[in-house]
Amino acid sequence: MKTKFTKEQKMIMKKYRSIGVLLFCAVMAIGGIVGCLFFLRPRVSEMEKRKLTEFPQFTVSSFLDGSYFSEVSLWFSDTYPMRDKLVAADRKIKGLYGIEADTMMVGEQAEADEIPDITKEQPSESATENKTTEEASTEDKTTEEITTEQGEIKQVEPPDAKAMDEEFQKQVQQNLYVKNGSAYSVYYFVQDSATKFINAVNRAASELSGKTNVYCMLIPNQSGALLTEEELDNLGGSDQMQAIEYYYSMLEGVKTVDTIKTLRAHKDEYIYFRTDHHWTQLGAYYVYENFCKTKGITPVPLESRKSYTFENFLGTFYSTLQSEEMAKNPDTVYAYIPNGTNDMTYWDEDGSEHEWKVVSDVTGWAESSLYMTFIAGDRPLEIIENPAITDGSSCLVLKESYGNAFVPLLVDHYQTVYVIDYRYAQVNVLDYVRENQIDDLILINNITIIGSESVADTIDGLLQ
Amino acid sequence: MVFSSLIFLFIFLTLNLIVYFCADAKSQNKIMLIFSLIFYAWGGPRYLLLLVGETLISWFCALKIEEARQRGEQDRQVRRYLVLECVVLLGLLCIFKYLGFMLGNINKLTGFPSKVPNIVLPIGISFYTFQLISYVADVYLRKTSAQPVFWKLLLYSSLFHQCIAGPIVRYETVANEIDNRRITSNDIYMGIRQFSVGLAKKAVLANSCASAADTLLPAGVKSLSMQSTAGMWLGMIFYMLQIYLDFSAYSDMAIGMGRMIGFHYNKNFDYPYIAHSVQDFWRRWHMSLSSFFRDYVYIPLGGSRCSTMKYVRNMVVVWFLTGLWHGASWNYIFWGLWYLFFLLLERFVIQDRFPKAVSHLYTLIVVLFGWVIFKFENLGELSVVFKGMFGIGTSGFVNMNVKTVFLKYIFFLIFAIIAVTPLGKNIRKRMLVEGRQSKAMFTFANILDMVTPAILVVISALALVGASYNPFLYFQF
Repeated sequence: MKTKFTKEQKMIMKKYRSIGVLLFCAVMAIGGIVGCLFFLRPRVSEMEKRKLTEFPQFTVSSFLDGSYFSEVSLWFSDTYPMRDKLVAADRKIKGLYGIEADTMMVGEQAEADEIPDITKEQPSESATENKTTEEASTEDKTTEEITTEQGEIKQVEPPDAKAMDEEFQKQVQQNLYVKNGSAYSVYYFVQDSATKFINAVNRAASELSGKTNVYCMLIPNQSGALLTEEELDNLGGSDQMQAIEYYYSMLEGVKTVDTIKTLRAHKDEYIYFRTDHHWTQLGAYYVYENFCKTKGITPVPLESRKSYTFENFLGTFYSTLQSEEMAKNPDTVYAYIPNGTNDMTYWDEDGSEHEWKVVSDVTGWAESSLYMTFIAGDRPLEIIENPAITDGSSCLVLKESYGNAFVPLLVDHYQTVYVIDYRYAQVNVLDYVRENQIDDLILINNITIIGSESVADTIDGLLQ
Repeated sequence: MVFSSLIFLFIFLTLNLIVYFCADAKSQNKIMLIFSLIFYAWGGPRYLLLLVGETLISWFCALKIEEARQRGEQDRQVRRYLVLECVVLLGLLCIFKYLGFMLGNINKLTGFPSKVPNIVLPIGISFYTFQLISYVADVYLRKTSAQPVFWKLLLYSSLFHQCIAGPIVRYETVANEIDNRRITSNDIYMGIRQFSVGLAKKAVLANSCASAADTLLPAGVKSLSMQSTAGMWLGMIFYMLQIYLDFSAYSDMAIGMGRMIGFHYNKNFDYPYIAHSVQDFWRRWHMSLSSFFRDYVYIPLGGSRCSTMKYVRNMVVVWFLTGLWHGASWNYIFWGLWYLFFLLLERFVIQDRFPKAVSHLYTLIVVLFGWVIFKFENLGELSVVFKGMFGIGTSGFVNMNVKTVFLKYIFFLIFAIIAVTPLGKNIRKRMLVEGRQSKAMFTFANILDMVTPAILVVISALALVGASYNPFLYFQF
């Protein structure tokens, strides 16, 4: 520095700088000591809803290629004591980076396929074309399975649950439109997945024809159900109404249930969460009414049921966006208990059996987990026996988490309700239906989620 | 281990400094060597052999050069050892860095060999190879004398400050300081400050730029072609900021850590984005690399004091190599040639004809498009973005996603742009100058100086907790 200072000034500068050095050393020392307080290290993050990095297992190969130490580094920063508080502080700082607009788009635009017109002939032609190629490839798979697993219930390649979850999140949250503290995911139609799904369901219907009714419901996203036509046009992506119509028109021997028209008619009611990608049980109820109409039974009104109210729900959209706006105005979960029974049994991936509630009291649970009130969350297999009904009637619901709010509504109509979450189950559904002589096979799916190829593949695999 | 990780900051560096300053002067070098070897081994211990082996060869060659000189041998005989050094070190660099790429290209042309081996790039090989070559070359050119003690040369080549991502420190810069270092309290403070500034530059600024750039420029031709024109520009501007902040941050940390213990490395960046010409940009960007190519390739070839044809040839060689040094992929070679084109254009056509503002803008645009070439190893993605920035084949001019990112980062963007200019430095200087007259200003400036390092470390640590994204871009070279 060329600037000339007096001797006295130089002394003062030196003093300040020495203190500066000491402050730096203090920060480093504190950081080091806190870092070594191993017993304070968290294992899970409440805020990010995930298990944190574990201390790696030592192996010679991971040591040699450096991955052992890079895992150690990751573990050190990921499980640093008080990490959630520190991360929250960092997010506060990052909040100063700019402006969170009332309306925004978070994520990236994707490419959608054209939804074919439903003018009877033309699409069915292309579909049969697809079908032949599809079936040709799936046939190989079946023969393989039969030769390996003769006689028994055919085991299906277990889906990688973790990869599925990630795919799921990616699909739903790929591109979010955020407006006034509510998020809406943009829908993209994917022809290959659609063809795969349609073929699988048609195959199931024809295999089970005469013995089991197959019902199919496709549930739109928030955007498809709640936004105005104009807003939807601006968002890009595909038209969900058109997509659902297309799917339904291609199904043969399957009873389809109207969803989107009804939901749109109720769009001013609380039928979807604002901070989570699921629908509310009220939304599920309106679709359930349509289901009853299709099946020819009388719905049990919501008012006649006991209910729970869980406040301060901040779901998956909030986890992704961490929006202040959402935190200020969290969701409420209203959960209605079936009249016949509230008891159920579920089996975990490891085969262990658990007694649980169809609608459980989740008071005091983490603000992100309140949707878990419905049927114990996502489990490979669940069975609900209703003692109030003894006619031997049964249904199997093949679902992802969108089905969770729907299942409790069915309990009062069947003696036995079986629930299979296709993401975690490893059972051949058609064999299972035949073996248990199930009356109704009900497929309930969110429109975005079945647009994922891996989901369509999995469903295809389960319905072999 | 990367500098911007908590384990490095709070465990490795803290321990290193404690042990170093507690030890007597005699063992300090040994301590630095041990810490450096651990640091290097952290990223994969097997390549430690390569580093030690290359250092051994360089140590041997340099000593042999001196010995031969003392025996009064002919220059040709002395040169044998320099040739040996270059053949071995560049040969190893070629095998580890370029063999896969070369075989891949041969395979595309001829179909042979059928299987291209996937060779993992040893960490820092591009940097320490050049350091060691410069050492032996300088001994040959009598710029410095050979290091008789092997482990001291190993300390030079493996010193964790600069071993794996530069700056490329010349042996002559530190030759004297290996044995005689004097540390003043000012050195310690300045070192700490530069280190903290670098850390914050990386952990806060560069990582945030990276997350914005990655959002706007997602991988894959399909995803990229869904982006709008404005999105590509904004994404590339973030990338442009990121790459400078990221790389200069690493150099700042290295220089700072060196200074804390009495090593004075030369600066590696001098605000490259205020350059007024492409030539000026390269005088300010990664200065230790450009001066390496200048001193060991360009000038030995004849530099610019020769016929035009020869000059052009020299430039082609230097810029082809500069591109290739950055990575074994065509886009880096194109990137080098891109600069070659503009440097020749400046010398023969533009000269000094642009007004100041125009030449500044022209430089930034050349550099920005240079980064487009640099960023995308996949030539399909490269062409989508290159064309897209001219509005060809994008999904429109702007969409709401881009507006959202822009608003979300608007203050940050302004701050980051200021951070790549010398404005902050000048304000601080100005405050101290004013402080000679005004006592209040003097105190304020001093308090600011006092708290800056600690605050920057705290903010950086916050940004690093729980973060999974963190690599330094220049690690791949």
